[in-house]
Amino acid sequence: MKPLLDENILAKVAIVELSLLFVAILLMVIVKVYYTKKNRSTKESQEELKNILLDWIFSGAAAVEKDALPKRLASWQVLLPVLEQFSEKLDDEALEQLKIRLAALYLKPLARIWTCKRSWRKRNTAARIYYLAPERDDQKEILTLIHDKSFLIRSIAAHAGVKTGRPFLIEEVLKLMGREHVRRRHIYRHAIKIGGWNVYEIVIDIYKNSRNAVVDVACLDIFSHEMATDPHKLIERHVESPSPEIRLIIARIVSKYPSRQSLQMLKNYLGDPNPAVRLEAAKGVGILGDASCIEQLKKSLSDNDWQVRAQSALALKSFGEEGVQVLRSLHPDTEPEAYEAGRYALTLP
Amino acid sequence: MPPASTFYQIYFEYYTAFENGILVYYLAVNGIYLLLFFGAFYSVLRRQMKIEAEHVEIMLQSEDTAAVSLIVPAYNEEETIAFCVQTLFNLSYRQKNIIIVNDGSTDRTLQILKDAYGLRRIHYSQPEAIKTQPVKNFYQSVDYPNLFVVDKFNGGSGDAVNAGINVCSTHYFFVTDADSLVDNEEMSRLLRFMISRTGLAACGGSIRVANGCEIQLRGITKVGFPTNYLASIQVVEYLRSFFVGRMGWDLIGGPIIISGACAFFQTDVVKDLGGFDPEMIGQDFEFTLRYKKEMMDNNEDPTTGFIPEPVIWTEVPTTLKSLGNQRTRWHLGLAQGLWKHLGLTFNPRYGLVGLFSVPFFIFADLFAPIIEFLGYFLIGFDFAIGAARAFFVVYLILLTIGFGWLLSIFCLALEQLTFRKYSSFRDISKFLLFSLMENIGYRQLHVLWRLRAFWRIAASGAYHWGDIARKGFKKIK
Repeated sequence: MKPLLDENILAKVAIVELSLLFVAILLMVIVKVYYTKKNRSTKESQEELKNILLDWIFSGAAAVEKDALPKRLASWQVLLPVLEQFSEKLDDEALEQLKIRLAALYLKPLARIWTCKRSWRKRNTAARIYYLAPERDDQKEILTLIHDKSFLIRSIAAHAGVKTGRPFLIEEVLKLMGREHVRRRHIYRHAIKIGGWNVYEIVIDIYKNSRNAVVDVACLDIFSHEMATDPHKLIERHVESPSPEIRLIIARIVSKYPSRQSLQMLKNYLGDPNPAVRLEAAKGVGILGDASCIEQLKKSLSDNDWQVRAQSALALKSFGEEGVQVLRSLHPDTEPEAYEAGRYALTLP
Repeated sequence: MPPASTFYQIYFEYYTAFENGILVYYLAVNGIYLLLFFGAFYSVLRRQMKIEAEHVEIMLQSEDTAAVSLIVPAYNEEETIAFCVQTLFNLSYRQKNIIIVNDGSTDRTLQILKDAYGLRRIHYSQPEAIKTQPVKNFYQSVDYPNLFVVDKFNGGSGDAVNAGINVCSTHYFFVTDADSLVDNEEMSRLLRFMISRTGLAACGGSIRVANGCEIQLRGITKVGFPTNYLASIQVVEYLRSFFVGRMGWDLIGGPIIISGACAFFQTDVVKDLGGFDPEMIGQDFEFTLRYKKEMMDNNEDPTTGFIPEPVIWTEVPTTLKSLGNQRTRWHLGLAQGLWKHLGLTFNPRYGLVGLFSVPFFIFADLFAPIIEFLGYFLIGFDFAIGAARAFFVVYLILLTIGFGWLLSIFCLALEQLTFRKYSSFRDISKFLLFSLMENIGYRQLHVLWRLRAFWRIAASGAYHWGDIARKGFKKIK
């Protein structure tokens, strides 16, 4: 058999490997030097910009002219993160004015171009810019970004849309939220929450006039976390909904609003075919209920679902001595599952 | 018996075949490693861009994100357990339950937890979804109601995690070790990654070496190189292994190992698959293979996720004995897992996993110590009888060392481009030095430790966990 490689070829392979080694070391040195320099320069620029912005905030933001910032400080890489930091830390009218002015001068022209770019990073930057200082005129671009295929972009654009306070955009955000997977909805709830009471009222109006199931789910989801008014009139058209998701949300909503009507609804939901709804109802009865619910909860102690049994036992425990007596009276031979649930609740700290 | 001249003639023929075989193996394996590195390079940079764009804070501020259970199996962890629990409490993510599973410890692990957190015995009514060793007691903290402790008879790490999964009522759970430190910021990123990818059921994150770092309750305050020689070499190994060995697979369906020290799962999926196999030494590797297989059998997406951010910092062994035990155990785990799922190998039904990933692990990882040992042995033998071509041997050794070094330097360059944890020139110089030095002595020992796994399989077919001498984080500097 002939050797596959002779000295010459092996030597060539070695040379290739040595060259790659050299390239790797060179690459690392370049990366190290470049990033050290770049980070230092960005940090210095950002510090300089922060001082200028603070001066402007205290002296009056409206005076900012087009060439007020040198090109070096007006780049989005420097300006956008600094303004974002200010937004997180300061809640000030002068800052708001300044943000709108600076965004209009230096950032929005870029954002308008980048809204439809193929690069997700550019679209993401555009969404960040609109979230920073959204204005009524930006609704077309914000709407485009709300419908972006990337969750990373549309979730930021949703915040921008809510911030504009325009019902049309808020409705779009609600549609998006209703279509989104349940575990991703917290981002949109957050957007509505930080929008404040005005946005909340707009959501209620949208819900009242809505005939769209997706919007209804989103609105009810928001009400289940933020409910300040009597929910019963709002939710009555969905109480008998065939969707377990909606019944679950309604159980959550009424659990937060103590009234006879709420308690009755929760008692009814204890017999719901869906275990998640029964579980939520048992939680709600534990919060709002009293000794009058003991009979229903006793039945739930023998539920097919162990979480419902455990939650019912906890609800009984929360009623005090009467509920505890029920749990103590359970027998392991006749009602083994109810007994287990009762023991669980009784031993919990 | 043939005359001596005939023997040499035949031997030389074999020697040339051996030389060619070694060369083909070297080029194939290293070529694939190089491709994996380029895959990792692309994936890590892409991930880095997303990190910059993500708003993790929104999730942290929210009170209604998905709840997550943090499961920690603990066996004789009296030195580290209190620190571990405290760091888990310190995580910014709000919706968390902490489940510590005391796996029949013979030291004060349980007593330390009882004293520190005011544990009270509870009666737990949840049905046992996965069969485990009997549970002695369940405890819940009076002071911290989201801390649960399961005290059970010893059954190994996989069995302990299964016991934790049985009491887990959240949609997701995260598994880590008691001797590992969870980085708050990176953990939030891992949570966001997992929760926002609704179809993903299994995900892992990078692990780095904690020895030599300055550690406080809020996490790593200063990253540094350990003073111990073995630990320093493991810094290089861990970086290379998690960049190339995990992130490299990102473009082709994700890694087929999700390390048990940093693993994130959807609870229902793991319960449906029967949890971790307690009979397995490398239960994390076996589970990932099983997960991929089952998903593909059910025509579902078998993708596993991985993020390159250093989520976990772990204390690595610093003595030859404990390191050797660990590596033997890892190799046994690899062999067991691959043997159990041998049906995946070259099976087109399982796509890239069957046709590429598993065969690559068999030939480039499992059999690597045998091939390397044979190489050393035959080269020595050939030199002794005058059959070896000196230039071939020298070039091969230099090329092998050079390639290992090259891969380590590439990984360091990628680290500098992205996370920059080892950022001082002193650390970089040390990294370069140790990545070269690992080839002398350590590499050969590593071959022997891994060969010991085959010996153990041949000798008894069973192996007990080696004891790793724990120092506890407070003593690590």
